Amino acid sequence: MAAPIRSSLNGTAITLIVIGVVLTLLFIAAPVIVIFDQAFAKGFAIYRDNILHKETLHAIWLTLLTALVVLPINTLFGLAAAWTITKFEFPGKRLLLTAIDIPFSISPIVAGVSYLLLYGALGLVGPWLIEHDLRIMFSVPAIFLVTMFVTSPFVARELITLMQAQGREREEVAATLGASGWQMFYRVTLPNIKWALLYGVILCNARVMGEFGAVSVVSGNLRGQTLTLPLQVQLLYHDYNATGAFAAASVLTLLAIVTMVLKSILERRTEHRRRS
Amino acid sequence: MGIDIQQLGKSFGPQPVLRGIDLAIKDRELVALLGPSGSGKTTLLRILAGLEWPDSGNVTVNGQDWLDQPPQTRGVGLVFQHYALFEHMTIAENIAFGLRVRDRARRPANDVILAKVEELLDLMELGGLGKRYPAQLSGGQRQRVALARALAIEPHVLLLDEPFGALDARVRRDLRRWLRGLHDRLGMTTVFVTHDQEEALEIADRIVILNEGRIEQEGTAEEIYDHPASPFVQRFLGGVNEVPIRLLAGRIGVDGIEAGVLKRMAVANDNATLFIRPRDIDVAPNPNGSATIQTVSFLGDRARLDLAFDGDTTVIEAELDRDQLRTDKLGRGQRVQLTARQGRLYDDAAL
Ligand SMILES: Nc1ncnc2c1ncn2[C@@H]1O[C@H](COP(=O)(O)OP(=O)(O)OP(=O)(O)O)[C@@H](O)[C@H]1O
Ligand SMILES: [Mg+2]
Repeated sequence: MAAPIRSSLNGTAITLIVIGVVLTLLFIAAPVIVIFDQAFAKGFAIYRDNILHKETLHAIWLTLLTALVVLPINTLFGLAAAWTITKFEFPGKRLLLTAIDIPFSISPIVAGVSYLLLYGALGLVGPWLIEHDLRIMFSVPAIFLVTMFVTSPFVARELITLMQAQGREREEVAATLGASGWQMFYRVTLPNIKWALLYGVILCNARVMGEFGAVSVVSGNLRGQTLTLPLQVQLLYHDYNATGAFAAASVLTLLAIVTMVLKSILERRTEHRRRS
Repeated sequence: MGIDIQQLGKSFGPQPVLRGIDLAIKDRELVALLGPSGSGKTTLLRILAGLEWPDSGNVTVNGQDWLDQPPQTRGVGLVFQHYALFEHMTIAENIAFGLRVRDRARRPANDVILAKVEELLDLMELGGLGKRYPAQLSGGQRQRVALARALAIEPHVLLLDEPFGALDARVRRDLRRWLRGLHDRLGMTTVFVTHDQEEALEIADRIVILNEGRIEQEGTAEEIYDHPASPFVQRFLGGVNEVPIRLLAGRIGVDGIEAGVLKRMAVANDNATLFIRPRDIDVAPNPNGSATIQTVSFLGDRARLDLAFDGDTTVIEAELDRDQLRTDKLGRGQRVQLTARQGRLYDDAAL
C-alpha cells in the first residue's frame, strides 16, 4: 500500500472535510439519533414495555432464529462455492460465478414474488406441496428460504476474492505431501481464510436481520407469528404506534452498531496481518 | 527411480502446450529443463507431480503407469518458485506437514517426527529457526524450508520449478552447488526447471531444452554447448553473433571479418547466416582494420567489446581476456581487425 500523503491543511482540504462531516451528521448520525430519541420519547418505562411486548419479543426471537438457521447454511454454501471455484477447473465455472451473484442483482421484492409464484397456493409447485400438507408460503419456513436466497452471495463473494488472490500452490504442495482433500481444506485453506470468512459471516448476518423486502412478500404478516423485526417495525408504525416502532427499530440499530464494531475490528486485524 | 515419458501431449483450450515429449530420465539423474517463457516447462513438471493431466502420452515409473496415480501417492517432493510455504505454521510445522497428514498406520510417532524435523533443519543449515514463521525468514531461508518440507516425506523424485529464481546471484550460486551435493547424497531423481542456462550447464547431468512444447535438444552440458543442434539452441545459450555470409569462389566470406579458417565449411547457397560466439573472435589492433571498438565492458577477468564497421549498423560482440586488453592497449575508438576462429553456418531457411 502506498505511503500516506502528508500535506498541510489548505483551504480546499478544510472545506472538503467540513462538507464530509456535515453530510455524515445529516444523513447518518441524525437518523440514528432520531431513532433513539423517539424510542425513549415517553420515558424508559414505556420503552421497556414496548420491547417486552409479546409481539415485539416474538419478532426479536424470529429474527434471531432466522439468523441461526440461515447463517450456517449460507456459510457452508459460501465455503463450498468459493473452494470449488478457486481451487478447481471445471466446465461451467463462469456460469456458476455469475449465478452466485444473481441474488445481488435482483431486487429483494422480486425475489420474494418469484418464491410466491413458485411455492404459493396458486404457484407452480405450491398446490402439490399443499396436497402433501407442506405449507411453505406465509409461514416461518418461507422467511428462512427467501432470506437464504437474498443473502447467499455474501460469504462466497468475500472468500472468492481472497482465495483467488492466494492461488492454489499451497494446496497443490499439500497434495504432493500426501494430504487428502479434507486435510488440505482444514489444515491449509481454512487457516488462511478464517478472518475473511468471519467478515463475510458478519456482513451476511447484518443483512439477514435487516432483510425486509423479500420477507414482507412471503411472510403473510401474521401478528406474533411470521413477523421479523423489520416487519414488526413497519406494522407498529402503521398502527400509529410510533414509539413502539422506534423501540423495535432501536434493537435493530443496536445489532447494526455491534456489527459495525465487529467489522472494523476484523478489518483492522486483516489489515494488520497484511502489513506484517 | 527412472521416469519414462512417452509422446506426452497437452493443450489448454485450442493452444497446444506440449507436443509429443519423449524423455527417459534415469534413476538418480539430475535433469534440467531449460527453455524460454511459455515453452511448457512448468506444465511438464506439473504433469509429473500429478497436478495436471496430459491429453495424450504416457508416464511410467519403474514400469508402472504414473498417470493413474493422484499426487498424494506418487512420492514426489515439489518446490515452487515462490515457495508456497504454509504461512500460518512455524517452520518446524511446515517441514513436519507431510508426516503429520499420514494416516495413523503410517504416521511416525511424535518424537520421531520432531527428530526428523531437527535433522532436516540441520541438513538445510536452518538450525534454530524451527520456531519462526515463514514471514520472518529471508528468501534463501524460505527456499530451503520449502526444500526441507519436500524432503521430509523422503521422495524418490524431486521436482523443482525455478527454485532459485527469486534469489540474488550470489545466493543462487551457493544454493545450486549445495543442491547438487544434496542430490548426490540423498540419491533421488531430480528434475528442475530453470530459465538460467548457466545454472543448468553448471549442475545438471543432462539438459533438456524445450521450445514451444517440443524438445529441441537434450544432452550433457558439453554436448549442448559444443554441438548445439539448432540455431534456436545457439541463440538460447546466449550472446551469439549472427552475420550474413557471401560466397567468394566457393569460400565463405564475411564483410569485415577474416574468415579464412572457415573456408572448408559446406555451403549450399549464399543464403546462409554464420553464428559466431564472442569468444571465437580474435581482435588485433590494426590501423587499417575494418572495425572500431565502440564500447568495452568488464566481465571480471574477461572483457566484452562492442565492435562497429564503417558505414554499417551491425554491431559484433567479441570477448577476450583483460590481459590482452592491456598488452594490446585496446580501448574505445581504436581500429582493429577481426578474425573468426570458428562458427556454425545455418541455411537462412532454417532460421
Ligand atoms: N492453467 C492454464 N490455463 C491455460 N493456459 C495455460 C495454463 N497453464 C499454462 N498455460 C499456458 O501454457 C503455456 C506453457 O506454460 P508453462 O507454464 O508450462 O510455461 P513455462 O515454460 O513454465 O514458462 P515460464 O518460464 O514463463 O514459467 C503458456 O503459453 C501458458 O500461457
Ligand atoms: Mg514456469
